[in-house]
Amino acid sequence: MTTVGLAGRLEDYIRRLDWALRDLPSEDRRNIKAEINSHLAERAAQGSSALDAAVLALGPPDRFARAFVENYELSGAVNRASPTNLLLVMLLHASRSVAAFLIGFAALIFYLFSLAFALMAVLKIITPAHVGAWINDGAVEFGAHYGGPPPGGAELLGYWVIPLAVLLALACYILGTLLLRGGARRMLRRARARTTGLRET
Amino acid sequence: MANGFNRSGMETSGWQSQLRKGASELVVLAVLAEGERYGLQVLEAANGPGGLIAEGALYPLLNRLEREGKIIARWSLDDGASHPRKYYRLSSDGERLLQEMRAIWVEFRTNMERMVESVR
Repeated sequence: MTTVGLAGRLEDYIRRLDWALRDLPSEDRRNIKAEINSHLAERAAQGSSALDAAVLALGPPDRFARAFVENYELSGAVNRASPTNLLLVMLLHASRSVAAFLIGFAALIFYLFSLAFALMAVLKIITPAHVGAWINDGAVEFGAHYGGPPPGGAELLGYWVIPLAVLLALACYILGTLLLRGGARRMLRRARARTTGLRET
Repeated sequence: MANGFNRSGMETSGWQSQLRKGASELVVLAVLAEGERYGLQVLEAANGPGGLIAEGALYPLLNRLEREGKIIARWSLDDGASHPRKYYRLSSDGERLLQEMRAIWVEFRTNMERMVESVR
């Protein structure tokens, strides 16, 4: 009866852990499950109270699983994910962290500028007269002018505006991505500090 | 008096927990430098001299170190064991990291000794 009880408690913990790890790749999930199963089985062999103590020490399955999942989320985002996924992860964390909000917002601005410069390069080909750089009242106006060129001096750049706009688009894209990766690495370090080596006394 | 003691205990327990958090990676690498170990053995070695690592924190830490290539794992079904065990050992990257962390730790400890323990 006791043996059945022990096995049941162990299986119950592993089943809940498995569910909490569902966002991880299946191979990693299987490995973690097998290792924790082995750990608890070894404790269970020492008796019921040893199993209870081990389960208590690991913590509730969903909280224990968070430690794995948080590391995967952020390290996956930092090392492999596209800028879109990086931005999504950053914005997901924005509600919990001011730094994530600021980084996500700044990166979004960089990407919008990148898009605007790329659009300029395309528009210069379609409507050359509306896109360029003009000197207007002593100030340089650079961009696309809706409804015809602005009054003032002649357009300065001609078709050189295309490589310049492409270069600026690339620069904004790279800066936004560097900011996101740097921010994600910083958050990863903080998440690790929270979830590893933790022994509440 | 008793209240003062409890409050002080609560204040230092958080600080103690932070110290352990900071040291856990170095502790795991140092244990594995002694040779190949599985999770429970790492835990017993780390917690022998005093509770240095929590069970709930050890496995996520091992998982991360493995993914970062600092340690290498293999599964083994040992004689007399009811379940396969996952054994870990240091990779060359892990050994390098351990050397660096150990040097930083020694310098830190020396500075702390000079700073804190000499003051009475």
